[in-house]
Amino acid sequence: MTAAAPLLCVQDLHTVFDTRRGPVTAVDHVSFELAHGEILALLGESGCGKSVTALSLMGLIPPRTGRVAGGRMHFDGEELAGADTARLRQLRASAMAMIFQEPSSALNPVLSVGRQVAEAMLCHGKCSKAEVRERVVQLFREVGITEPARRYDSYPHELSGGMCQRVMIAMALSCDPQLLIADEPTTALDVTVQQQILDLLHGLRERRNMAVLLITHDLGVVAENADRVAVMYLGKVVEQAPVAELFAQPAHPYTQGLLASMPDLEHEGAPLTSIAGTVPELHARPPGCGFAPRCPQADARCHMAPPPLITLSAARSVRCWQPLLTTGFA
Amino acid sequence: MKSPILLQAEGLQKQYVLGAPKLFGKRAVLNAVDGVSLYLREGETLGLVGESGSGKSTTGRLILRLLEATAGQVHLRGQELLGLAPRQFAPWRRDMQMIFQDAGASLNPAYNVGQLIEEPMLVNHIGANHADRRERANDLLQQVGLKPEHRTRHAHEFSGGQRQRIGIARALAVRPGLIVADEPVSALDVSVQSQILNLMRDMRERHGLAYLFIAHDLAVVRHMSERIAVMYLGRIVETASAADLYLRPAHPYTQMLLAAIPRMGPEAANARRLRTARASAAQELPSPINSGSGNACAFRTRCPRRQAICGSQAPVSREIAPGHSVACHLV
Repeated sequence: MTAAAPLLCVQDLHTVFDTRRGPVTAVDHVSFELAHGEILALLGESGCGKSVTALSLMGLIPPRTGRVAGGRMHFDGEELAGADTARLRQLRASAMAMIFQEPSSALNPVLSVGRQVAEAMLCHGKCSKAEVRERVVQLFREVGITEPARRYDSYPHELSGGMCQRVMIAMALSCDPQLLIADEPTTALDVTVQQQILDLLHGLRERRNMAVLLITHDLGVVAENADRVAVMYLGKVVEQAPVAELFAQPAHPYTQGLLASMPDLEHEGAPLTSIAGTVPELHARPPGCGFAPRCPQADARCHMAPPPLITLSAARSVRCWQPLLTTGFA
Repeated sequence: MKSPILLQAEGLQKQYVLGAPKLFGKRAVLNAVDGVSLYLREGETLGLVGESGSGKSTTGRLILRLLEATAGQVHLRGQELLGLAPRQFAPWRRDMQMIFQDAGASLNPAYNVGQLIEEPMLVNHIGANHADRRERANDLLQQVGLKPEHRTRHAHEFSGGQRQRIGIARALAVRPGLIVADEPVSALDVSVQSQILNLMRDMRERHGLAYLFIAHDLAVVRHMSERIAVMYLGRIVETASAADLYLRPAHPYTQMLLAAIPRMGPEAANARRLRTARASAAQELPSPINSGSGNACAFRTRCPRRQAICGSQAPVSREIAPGHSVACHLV
C-alpha cells in the first residue's frame, strides 16, 4: 500500500433494513480502503451484503425500507455518510459511477442507447447539446463498441448482453469517475464475453487511473482481476488480503472452504470438498461467529462470542477466533 | 468393458420459422439445433457445453420430446422415440427425467414436498399403494440429504440448494435411466454448488443413472463428465473424453472457451497477461438466423485461424484420435 491518502475509506459501515420480522443488519461494521487506480474485489455469496455495501456508498439505499445506520465513508476527502442528497447527486455525476449485473434491464428499453448516454451527459452538464452526439460516439469507441456511430441509434433489445454492458460502462465513464463500482458486471454474460468486459475494465483502470470496486461471487474473476480482496460473510468482512496471498494461503476457514469447493480444471473429479449447511438468515444471526454453524473447527467460544479482527500484516486481516494463519504471508 | 448404449440421437434438427421481415418477404429461419448426433452409455455422463444460444438446452429438450424436433431420430434402449404416438411414448418418458436450472420454478408451489415426489410415482403406476409411495418418498428425501419431516413443507420454505435436492428426488422417484440436467447448479452459490454436484455423483452410482449434463461452466462440466461435447451455433464442433478435451483441445472454438476461463492460484495473474497478449475471443456469438446448413463453417467469423476453405465448405466431423472427433478443416 502506498502512503498516499486512499481514494475511499470506509469505516464501520452499518446498513439496516426494516423488515416485517424486525430490523435486519445487512452490512455489519464493514471497513475497507481503496487506493487510486486499485481494483478491490468484494467477494461473497448471495445475501452476504456486498451489493448493499455498494448501494450504501452510492447513497442508493431505498429510504423507506433501509438506512445507513452508522459508520464513515470518506471519499476523496469528503464524508458521504450524512451528505445531503444534492451533494450525493453531484458526486454521482462527477466522481463515482456504478454498473450492474443485468445490463439489459438497467437500460431503458424505449430509448436508443446513444440517447440514454447522452441524457446522462447533458444532465450532468458535461457538454453542450451540439457536441453530445460526437462525445457519446467517442465513448462508445473507447469501450469497444463496433460501429459506434451506427450503434448510437440502436435500442437495448437489438444489442447482445455484452454490448449492453459496454453501453453501461460508457454511461458510467461519461462522468469521468475516479471510482467505478461494478456489481457482478459479468455474471449474466458468457465466459468469452466476460473476459472481454474484464479486459476492458483493466484497460480503463490503466488509462484513466480509475479505482474499481469489483463485486463478485466468482473466485476465478477475483483471482485474475483484483489487486486485493475483501471476503464477506453474513454482512461482515471476514478476511482481507492481497489476491495472490489469499489464494495461496487463506486465513479464514470460510475462504478456505470456498477455494476447496471450486471444481478444478486441471484435475479430474474426486468428490468436491463442500461447506456443510447453508448461510443462516440475517434475522437469525448466530450469537457468536456468523460462520460457526458451518465451520469445521468451531469450538464453544466461536458459538458464544463474535470473533475479533486480527491483523496478520500491514495488508492482511482476518476476523476469526482460530485463523489458519497467525502471521502474515511468509 | 463398456456398458451398452442407452441413448443415441441422430441428426437432430430444430428450426424455427420467424416472421417475414417484409410482407411477402422471405421468412427467416432460425436453426436452433442443426444436425446434432450424440450417444450416451448406461451409467455415463456426457457434458454438453457452449455459450448461451448455442442450442445445448434445446438439444436436451428435443431428446426428451419436450420440444418436437424438425428432423432426426432419438433411440432409447434401441427404441425410436420421435415417431411414437403420445400414448406409446408415455412409458418412455418415465425413463428420461429432467433437472432444471431454476428448481424453485419447476416445483408446483401448491404442493407440499411429499406430494411433489409422490405424484410422478402415481402417474407412472409406481408403488402398490399410498403407503408404499410414501415410504419411497421418505427414503428418497433421506438419500438427497433432506428429512422425512420435510414432506409437509412447501417449496418456497426451502433454500435454492434444498429446492434442487427436491428436484433431484422428484426426478429419481420414477426410476429413470437417463437424467437430462440443464444447468443444475448455475443458479446456486459456490458453497452449495459443490454439495449438489457431489449429490448428483452419489445418486449416479447408487441408481446407475446416465446424465446428459448441460452447463456453460467448463470447470463444472469437466468435474462431472466422462465425455464432453462442445456446441456452437446448433452444431457439435468437438467431442472427446473429458481429460482429452482439456489437455488437447483441437477445435479453435474449444481452445477459445478454455482460454477464457479465469484461472485461480498462483498462475492467475500470468494467465491474464498471456491472454491479453493473444487478444483472443474477439467478437460475440453471431445470430443463428439463416446461419444454418450453408456451405461454410459457422465459427469462421470469430476464428483466429480462418482460411479460404472455411467460407466455402462446411467442415464435417471426423475422428482424430479414438473417441475424439472434431469438425474443423484445419485439424
